[in-house]
Parts: sequence; structure tokens; C-alpha cells
Amino acid sequence: MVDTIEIRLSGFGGQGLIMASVVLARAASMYESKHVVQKDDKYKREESGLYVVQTQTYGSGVRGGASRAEVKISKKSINYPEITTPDVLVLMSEEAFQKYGSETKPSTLVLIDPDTVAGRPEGDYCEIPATVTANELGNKIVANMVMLGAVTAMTKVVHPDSLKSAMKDLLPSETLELNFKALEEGYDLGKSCGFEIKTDWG
Amino acid sequence: MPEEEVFLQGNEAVVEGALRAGCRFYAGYPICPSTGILETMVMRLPEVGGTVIQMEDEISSIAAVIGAAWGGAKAMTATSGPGFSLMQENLGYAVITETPCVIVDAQRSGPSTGQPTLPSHGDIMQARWGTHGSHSIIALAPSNVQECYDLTIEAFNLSEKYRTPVVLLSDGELAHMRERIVLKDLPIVNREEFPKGPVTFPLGEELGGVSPFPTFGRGHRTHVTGLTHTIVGYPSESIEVQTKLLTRLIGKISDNRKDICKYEVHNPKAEHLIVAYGIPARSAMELVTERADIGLFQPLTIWPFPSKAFRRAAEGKKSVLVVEMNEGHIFREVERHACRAGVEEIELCSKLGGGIPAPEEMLDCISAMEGE
Repeated sequence: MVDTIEIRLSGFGGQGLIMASVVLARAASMYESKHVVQKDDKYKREESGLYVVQTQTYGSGVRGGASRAEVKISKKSINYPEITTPDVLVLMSEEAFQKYGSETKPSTLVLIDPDTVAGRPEGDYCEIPATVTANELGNKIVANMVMLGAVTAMTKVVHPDSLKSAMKDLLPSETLELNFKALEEGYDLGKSCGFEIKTDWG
Repeated sequence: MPEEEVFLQGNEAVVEGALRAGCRFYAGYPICPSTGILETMVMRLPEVGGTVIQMEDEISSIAAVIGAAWGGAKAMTATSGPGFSLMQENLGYAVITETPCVIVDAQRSGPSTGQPTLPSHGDIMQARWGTHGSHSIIALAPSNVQECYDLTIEAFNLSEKYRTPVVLLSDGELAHMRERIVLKDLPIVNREEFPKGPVTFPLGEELGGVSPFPTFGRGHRTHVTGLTHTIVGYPSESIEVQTKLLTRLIGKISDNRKDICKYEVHNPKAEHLIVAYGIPARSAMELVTERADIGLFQPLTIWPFPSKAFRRAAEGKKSVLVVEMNEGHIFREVERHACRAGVEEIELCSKLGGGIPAPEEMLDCISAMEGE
């Protein structure tokens, strides 16, 4: 059981990893308190809900450049905003694997997209064919949501309904059906992996 | 206005704060990591009847902001690193013409182009002394997304109250970071208008150093000039006039530290004191919540430095550690006040390179101090 979970998503610009991190962070921050005791005073909601910080870095080149997004979710208030060793590491490019593949601890869940990463880490990992699955659904652009679905299945860090609420806020309405489908496919892929992290609130 | 809970990026929170404060004019030129402010302004400002202009560069951006302020608008610009350098001359023009306006610097790692989008606090001294000539400045430093909102409102309020440019020193980390915040209904200050009717020129000295504002187009005969000027606005080469002018411009900020300066003190009884502002203050809070022997002094107002409050916080401390994402910009300020407060051990914990200091790095600095 962990009281804080640190999630790193890394790949290249254009894969939508920053968007995936914003969907996750927004879901945890704004929609998750519905699933715990709701208090009348809105300032008390902080106590019942989750604290969330999302950070991101990207190269000046944007599309094709290295991209990294991080989400820290906790029952306690978060001071230091960055991640040192992630609890969940998503790798969606070879460059990301080379850079972050070894920054793990024994308990880190490593999720790899086999179509975009050639190398494999020494420890345990799980292959999530996000790009292939997204292509089968009709557009590889939703590979980010396949990955997000898998992360959610393995961590129960947010309820899938919270993710869908956040997606409605952030994504164009005509793309929602496809994105929801990608999320659900990813959720099933994540479940079949057999790894999980238990959080205080999951 | 009703309060609202939202999930925002630091840049977006600055925009929401500006809108709540009454900002209705924005001019800027895109430069990462401040670009999100321009982008958000383009979407948000027209919704409240405001104007956004993308200018040809940063020099014209701040010039447009100064012009808009004289036209009666609350006005703002935002930039990063190299753009802030370009704004320095007009920043001084805003100081001597006593133009209320807000300049946001989402600091990135420099000098020059440096590391675009990576954070640094290399502009702390530039905010203080970047423009030439003797002057005072107000600069604020947020450490989280909520403070990006709160301190932007505070920046506008101070600029209106003291008729002066105010600099908000954010950084690349904060600019892109998202957190849940409350859009609080905070008090808003509006500039005092020059009275209608026959034009009289009250001495600034008689009004606590701040004269009412004679907005363009409202019937005042006004001369706005970067030249040293008399109280009626005419240029002067007189030593006496310049001495009076500078004494008043510097004094209206330096003499009002008690009203202007905001800071936070945590674990006031701890034997070791960390001084940190912006993001490093958050790393320091990790230590403060875990160790009773470590306290934190976090200036939210960097300039003028809250010297009296700091001296009170530093008294009786075994050591003071200044943590900065630069080579020690407020370190010397802290050092001289800590010395006067009787502290013997004062060290700098400097983080360069475009990253933010982790709590462990601060512990290393503390251990190094204790080991000496």
C-alpha cells in the first residue's frame, strides 16, 4: 500500500503523453472526490479528495522530440513536485527507454509499447501494444489512451468514470467515442498483465 | 464574484488572476515557457471585453502596456529570459513615469537562449537592477499554482496602489505545472484618479509619495516623460529636482515594506533556518514537515526584501541556509541581515543546470554545513 503514487509517461512529441497525463491528473484532482466522502464545505474537500501535481517537459522541436510528463497523486498534500523514482513508468520510445528505463525500483511497474521500444529492462515489465491496438481501432493517435487505460487497470488510481469525465472536458467531442474505446481496450490489456500497485484509496 | 475550484497550469492561473484583478489589456511576444500566458490571454481576455495584441517583439510589448496603462487600462505583459532582458529599458521608463503595470517573467535557464523551457531563477537580480539608474522595484515570487493566481492579483494591486511596475517572477517549472486551486474572491485595488476640474499638482511627498493618476483623455494636461521632471511634469536638469524625484520614487516602495512585503515562516522555533522562494520552497517544506529542527523563511515578496521580518526569523538560529536556483542572488541580502541578527553560519545551496533542487540535495547542503 502506498499513500503517494508517482507516474512517469515518456515517449516522443505527438504521441499525446502530455494529454494523457493531464487527463489522469484532472480526473484524480477534480472528479475522484465523488468516490470518497463528500463534505459540505468545499474547502474540506481537500481532505477527502486527492492531491495532484502534474508536470511536463518537452524539447523545443515538439513533434518527434523527447517528451515526458509526470503525475504525482497523494492523500497528503504534495510539496516537492517532481518524481525521483517512479512507481509506474510508461515507455513509448527507444530514447525514453534509454533515458529512463533504468531509473526504477524493484516495485516499479514498467509498461512498454513493443512497437516503439526495441530494448527491454532487466527487471519485470509488461508489454502493452498501445500503437497496434490504436491502429486497429482506426487511429494510432489514441495510443495514449490505450496506455492510460492500462495504467488505470494496474493501479486503480482513479475510477475509469473519472477519466471519462476529464476526457469530456479536454478532448473534442467528436473524438470521445474513439478515445473511450481506446481507454477500455487498454484497461483490459492492463488487467491481463497480472501486475498491480495498491494505493490507500484504490 | 463567486469562488470556483479549478485544475490549472501555472500560466493559466496567472491569466485568471490578472482577469480577476481587472486586467483588460495584454501585449506580448511568444517565448517559452511564458507562451501559455499569451495563448490563454488570446482566448480569455476578449471574453471580458479586453484587448490582446501580439507585438513584433518584447520591447514594443512593454511599450504597448505602458501606453495602455496611461489610457486607463490595467495592463500586463509576460515573457521569459531573453525577452525580459529586452524589456529592461522600458521597465525603467515605467518606473520614472510611475506607470502601473505588471510584467511576468517565467524564468528559464540562461544566459542568452540557454535552456528553453527549463526552469531557473537567474533573473532575480535582473528584476532588481536590470534597468539602469537608481530606483526601487517590487517583485513577487510564487511557489505553486495557487500563488500564481494570488500573487498576480497582488501584483496588480500593488502596481495600482503605488503607481509602479510590478514584476512577477515565475519559472519554467511553475509555468507548465498543473494543480487544483481556488479562484478566490480577493480584494481588488484601483488607482486613484487625478481629480477633475482645475489642474493642480499635489506634491507626491504630501500623499505618501504617490500622486493620483491623470489618465489620458480625461481633460488633464499631462506630460509623460522619461526625463527627470518637476512635479508639473516638465524636464529639469536641476540636482535638487532629481534628488527629490528619486528620493520619492525609491522611498514610496522602500519605506512601505511593511505594507508591501509578504512572507511565510514555518517551524519558527527550529535551530536551522532555510531561506527559499519559488519552487525550492516546496522542496524545503518536505524537510520542514519531517524535521522539527529545520525551519523555513519563504519571501513571497523578493523585492523589496522583507529584511525586518527576516531578521526576526533569523534571530537565535544556529545556521541559515539559502537555497536558490542561481549562483546566489538573494544570498548576499540574506547574509548581511543574518549577520546583523547574530547568526554565525550562513551558507548558499546553489542549484544550476535547469533543474529544481530535491529535498535530498538540501539535506546534503545541511550535512556539509554541519560537517565543517
